[in-house]
Amino acid sequence: MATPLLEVRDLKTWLMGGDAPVRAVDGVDMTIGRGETYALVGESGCGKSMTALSVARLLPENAQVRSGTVNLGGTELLGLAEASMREVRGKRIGMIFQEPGTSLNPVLTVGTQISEVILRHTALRGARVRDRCVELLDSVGIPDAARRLDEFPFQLSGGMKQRVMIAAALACDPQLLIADEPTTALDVTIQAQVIALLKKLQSERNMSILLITHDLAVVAQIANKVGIMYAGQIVEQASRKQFFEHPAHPYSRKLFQSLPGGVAGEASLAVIPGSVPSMTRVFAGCRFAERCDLRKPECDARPAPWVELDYQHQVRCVLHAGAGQVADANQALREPKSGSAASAAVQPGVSDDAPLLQVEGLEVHFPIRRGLFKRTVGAVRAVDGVSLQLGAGECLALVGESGCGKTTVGKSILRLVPPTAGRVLLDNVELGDLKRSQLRARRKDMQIVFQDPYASLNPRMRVAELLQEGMAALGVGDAEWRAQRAHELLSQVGMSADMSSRYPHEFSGGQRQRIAIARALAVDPKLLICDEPTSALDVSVQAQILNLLKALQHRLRLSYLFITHDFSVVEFLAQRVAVMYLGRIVESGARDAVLKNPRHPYTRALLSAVPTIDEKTQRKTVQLKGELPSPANPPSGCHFHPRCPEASDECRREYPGQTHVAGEHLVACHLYR
Amino acid sequence: MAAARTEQSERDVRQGFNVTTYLIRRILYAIPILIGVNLITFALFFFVNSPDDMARLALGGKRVTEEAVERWKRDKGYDKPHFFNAQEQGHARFTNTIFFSKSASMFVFDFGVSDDGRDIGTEIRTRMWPSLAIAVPTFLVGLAFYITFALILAFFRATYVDVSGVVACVVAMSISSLFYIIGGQYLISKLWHLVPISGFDYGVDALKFLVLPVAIGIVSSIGANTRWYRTIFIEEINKDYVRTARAKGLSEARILFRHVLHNAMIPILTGVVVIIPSLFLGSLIMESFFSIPGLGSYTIEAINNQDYSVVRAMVFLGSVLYIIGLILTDIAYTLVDPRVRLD
Amino acid sequence: MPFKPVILWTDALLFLLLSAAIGFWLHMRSRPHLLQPWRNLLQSRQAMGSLVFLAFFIAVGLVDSLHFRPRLSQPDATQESRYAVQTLSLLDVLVGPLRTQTEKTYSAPLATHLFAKETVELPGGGRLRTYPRLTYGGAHLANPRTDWLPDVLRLTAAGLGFGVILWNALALLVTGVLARRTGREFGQTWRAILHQREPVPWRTILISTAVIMLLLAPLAVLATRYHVLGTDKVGQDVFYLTLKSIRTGLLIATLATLVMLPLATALGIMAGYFGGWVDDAIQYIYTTLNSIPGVLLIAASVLMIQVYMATHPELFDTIEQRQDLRLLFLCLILGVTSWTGLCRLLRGEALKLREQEYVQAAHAFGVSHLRVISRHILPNVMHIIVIAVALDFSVLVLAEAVLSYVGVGVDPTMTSFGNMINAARLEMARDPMVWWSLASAFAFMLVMVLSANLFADALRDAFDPRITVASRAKA
Repeated sequence: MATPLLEVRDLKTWLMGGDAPVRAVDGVDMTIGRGETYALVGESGCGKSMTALSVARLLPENAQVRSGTVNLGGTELLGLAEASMREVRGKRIGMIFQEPGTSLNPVLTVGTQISEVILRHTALRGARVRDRCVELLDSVGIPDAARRLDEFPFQLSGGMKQRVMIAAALACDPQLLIADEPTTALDVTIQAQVIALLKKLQSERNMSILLITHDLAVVAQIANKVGIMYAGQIVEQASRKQFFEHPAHPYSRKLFQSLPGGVAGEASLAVIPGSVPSMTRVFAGCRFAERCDLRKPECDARPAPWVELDYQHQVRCVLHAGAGQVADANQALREPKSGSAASAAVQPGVSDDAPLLQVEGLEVHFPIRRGLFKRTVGAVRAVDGVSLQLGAGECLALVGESGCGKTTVGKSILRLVPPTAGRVLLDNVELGDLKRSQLRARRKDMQIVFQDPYASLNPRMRVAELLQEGMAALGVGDAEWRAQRAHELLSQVGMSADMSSRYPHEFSGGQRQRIAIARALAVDPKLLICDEPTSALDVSVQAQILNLLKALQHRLRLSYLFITHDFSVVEFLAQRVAVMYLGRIVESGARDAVLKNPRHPYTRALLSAVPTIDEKTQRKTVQLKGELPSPANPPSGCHFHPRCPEASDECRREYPGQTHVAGEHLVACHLYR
Repeated sequence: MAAARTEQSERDVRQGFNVTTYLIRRILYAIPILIGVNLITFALFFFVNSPDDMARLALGGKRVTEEAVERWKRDKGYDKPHFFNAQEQGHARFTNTIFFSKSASMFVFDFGVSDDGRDIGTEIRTRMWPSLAIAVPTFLVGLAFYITFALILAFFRATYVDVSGVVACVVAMSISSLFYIIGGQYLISKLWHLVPISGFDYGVDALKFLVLPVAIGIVSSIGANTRWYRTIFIEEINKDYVRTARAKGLSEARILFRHVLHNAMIPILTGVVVIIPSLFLGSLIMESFFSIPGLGSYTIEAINNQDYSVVRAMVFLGSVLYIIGLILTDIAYTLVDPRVRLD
Repeated sequence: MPFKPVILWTDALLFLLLSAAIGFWLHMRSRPHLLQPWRNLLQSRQAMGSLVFLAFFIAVGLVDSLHFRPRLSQPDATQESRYAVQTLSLLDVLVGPLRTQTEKTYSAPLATHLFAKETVELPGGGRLRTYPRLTYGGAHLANPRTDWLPDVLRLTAAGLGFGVILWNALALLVTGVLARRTGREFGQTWRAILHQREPVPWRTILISTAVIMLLLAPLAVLATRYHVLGTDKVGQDVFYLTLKSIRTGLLIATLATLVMLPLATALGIMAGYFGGWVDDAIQYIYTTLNSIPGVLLIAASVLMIQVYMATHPELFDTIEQRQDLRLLFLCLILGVTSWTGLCRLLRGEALKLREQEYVQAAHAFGVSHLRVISRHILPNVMHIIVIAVALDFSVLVLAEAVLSYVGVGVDPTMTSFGNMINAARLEMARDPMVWWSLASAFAFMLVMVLSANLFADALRDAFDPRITVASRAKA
């Protein structure tokens, strides 16, 4: 192997300013070869972004590198003067960030933002700079590049912005591209496009990539080498193949087991108890020990050793230390004590009774006002004729990309957003006909759990107050009873009753989501609308919440309308699936029918775009062109036709009706007429 | 390229259309506001006190005869009913009232006559020039100074330059503006005899009268403004796009001027553009301290002489200028922020 | 009774405000998360240092707000008690002779003679143009030319000594109490304070106290024999006037806030939370009010109240009552003209908060609007209100001076920084200049406004996490 491009040794970066320094990066070693993609993987707060920023020396002002070396192709970066470091940034290291929306300067044109890199680092001037910009935009797959140069970031979609970011980062052919969660903020179909683009560019330019991500599926698609980071350290490092076939560290194993994909029916997901430890602590032993099933006395006594399993695979775990113990370790690891907490055996079945929830032709239009007197000139058709049914004890997953209107469906069922048209029947009672006071009484039966556990709990209220608010508002029980009930609820969601006098900021994301679920359950609802309840959480925590939701469904015979963009979650939890595109449902049916035998081209594309970690089952990706159009101005005919690989003239003219393909499997597509 | 160009020009045409509709709508919106302003001032001047009270006060004390009061009211035109004159015929029922003659006429910028018998409109037209001569340089030079200082502090953020600069700003903004004026006059005019202590002259001679008030005007609000702009700059510096710019290898100075300054202009304009039209009104205190015959000292004199017609006229003029300021702010936005369109 | 208590409107409101602040504090004591920013504030050196100075001004203002009318001495006890026309405050009693010992006209600080020459009738007949001796200032000196300097130095030294003793007592008290509460030895506690190891920056507090005491004690001692800051045109002691001005400034700053706060909070939150026509109406109101130049609106209103007061003199028993009502009215007007800024800020915040998921969750339970506003919106905009109030304080104190200068401030007979400056300004042309009342007013105002500004700054750091991050950067 030739000399590596990037060598990081014993890197330590601390965040100052609080009571104690946060040891965000605490002794990281890594080596990236030329033309190699190194994926640094970890949950939020593990220090992976800080590592990347330390390499580029772009740390925030309250962070400082305490020790270590960063060697880029023979140049020691940490010792460079700031002026020389500026020569490196943009020229030898390119960077892209998580939020393309905020990472581009909103008031400068795309062309300016790309050309300033060229002007800074090369001798190109004048018209040749512009030519180079056009060439770059072409290479990142932006159509009509010459015109795009004069546009501003706000005129581009999210995926386009990320492409512009990539173009600017690659403008001077850097040796290393640091990509910090480059696809996290993007939809799954766009994510697939960006990953494919990165792969293509890398092979064309023989560039190295340091990819920071939390998503094992993305790693599986693009990485050559994987480093798993936990609490400021790399705990395992291996080639992709070895890592995915034989993960060695207990933490890595747990991460795989907690992925919801492939687990369905009665099984529950493996969980990692607890949460990531605070990095202000000084650790004596292994940092993962307190969450590890295989904890041994020596784990707490001294730091875990860095064990070389073979020349491409290292792990920081005492189980692998010493030649004789490897077999033991593998033995121990092969029998995970996970998946044991199997839930009650009640079969959630679709009952024969009338469905709990019936939605017919639901429309939510937001008027667009223009002109002299702000007349309504059009409407954003966020929800444009959605019908669905949900039986008692059933879970229906409503799947779609961001902006397709799925959240609005949930909110308008609850009348948090007034619907423009359509009927919503709960227990055969039309909610639209009810007066305000009657509707309030009905709110006992339907509740909602939101996406962001940090935004859904009022930071100024104690847990007990949060839980009792709904009961008090709906006049359930007296004060004493409600206090008692709050305690019950907490234990029901796996928290202890003595937490009820605390405030939300004292809890982690997962715990907060448990509180939010408990709050919704406080009034004994029949229907629970879950609006992406796990998408803001880390994988290991997501597994805890999904298990909880599944157990609750069985125990309380709840009906879920589960709004999500994540098919692996659908597979784990839902009995039926409805796929939404631009305000309408394009395909619906039983889970297995839709997931295993998708009919609508959009469903097929969505499913194929989901990255999977299992290389054998990796599907051939159906790459979708373009992005979700604006619901203010949907395409004529079938909304999907501009992106559809199988679109015909008919599709351009007319919106397709619903077709029964098999049983209750419905699809709205001209292909099945 | 050709296709792109036609699309561009189409956009310009639409933009032009939008500007017209926008302006019409803003002007329509201004009418209820101006009516509101007029009603407020009318209520203040004619309901809190009756014209009789004002007449007695103007004529001096309690021992005033009824006839004198009536004569005073007739002279000033305050002897009519407030809103509705039952003794008149036709539209004169509404026009021959205090409200119509004193307030409604302002909508056509007919301000009437002041107590000393001069036409307020003419007075305003002659007095606005001295006011502008002070207010415009104070505004422009001041803005340049404040932004420069704030940029320097932002460039040296979190160093001793910044910390001591901010402390100096806080001290400077804790000092009364009267102190700057009195101190400046004493030091520069009285002690050092550099410029005349007060007064005004037209033409080139104006310069020597203007230097001191302009300088003091700038210095007296240097603390608050520099600190405010610095906060804006620092807030921008902490945004993601600055990190992107650093990742490109750009120098700190270039980032500050090219990226941060442009973005920071958006919040800065909000506070700044709206006061531009009001520069016409001049500064009450400056003009009276430096005996400058502008609109500010005109207003002060009116207040001291209790000349209500002038005060009312200035209130109305002030609100018209404020509304123009709001419109200018919106237009300024479209110039610095490509995301904003007039509509 | 030897006196008849008089509760002026402003006094009542000031004490109402004080009790509201205490109530707010008691309410928060049981809510640790609400206390957290205050605790940060308690640990900020800047906040505590400036608070000591503010506390001095507030104490003077409060003492000056306890009013009464003394009983006139009557030879016949059977008659009904009669009280003086003049209303006094507790401060007037405390400073004793400062109020009553007025000279003829101007005299410089610590002077023994008048500032202006006068023709004096000599005992032997004949006249002399000279600077006559003051009636009170330095009257105890037999020969001012030789005795003056030693006497002033002696009194200053005595004052300093007095200050040092007082400060030492205070430091001992603080250390003693702290030692008892933490169960440490006295010496240990003292060293902890000295080396800033206490969570509360006691060293800063003690240093600030020392500065105040070492300045005030000599002033106080000198004031017993001299006019320590001189006298004004009618011979009133400037030190006394300055102390009296503190209350005026304090009242303007707090009462205008008291008027502005409910208006801004209620309307701002309603506009943002309800949106629609409520928002349109409230926006119309504040755009209209905003469009009138503030000074002019104040001027117009004050002019009108002036006319009203002039034509209805029968409504006011004493001068103080007239002054007080004008002050109250000025606060009202300042409140009305200054609520729009905070209102707009709160409207924006409420607009954001109503889309927050926890507000949506409350709606999903059918929680009433009033409860959503009081439990979800209001507590989450509280920090903005607190910061706005603190920032407004200093602006209002400065505004008083300017308004009084323009002639639309407090009653011209009332003691205030603005009136002092205005009166002194007219004497600028004199040579040599009469600088002392100008200087005293500016100096006291500067200290008051600066400490308020520094406190507000620290308050904002403690309450606004966004700005804290920026200012917390290294160094």
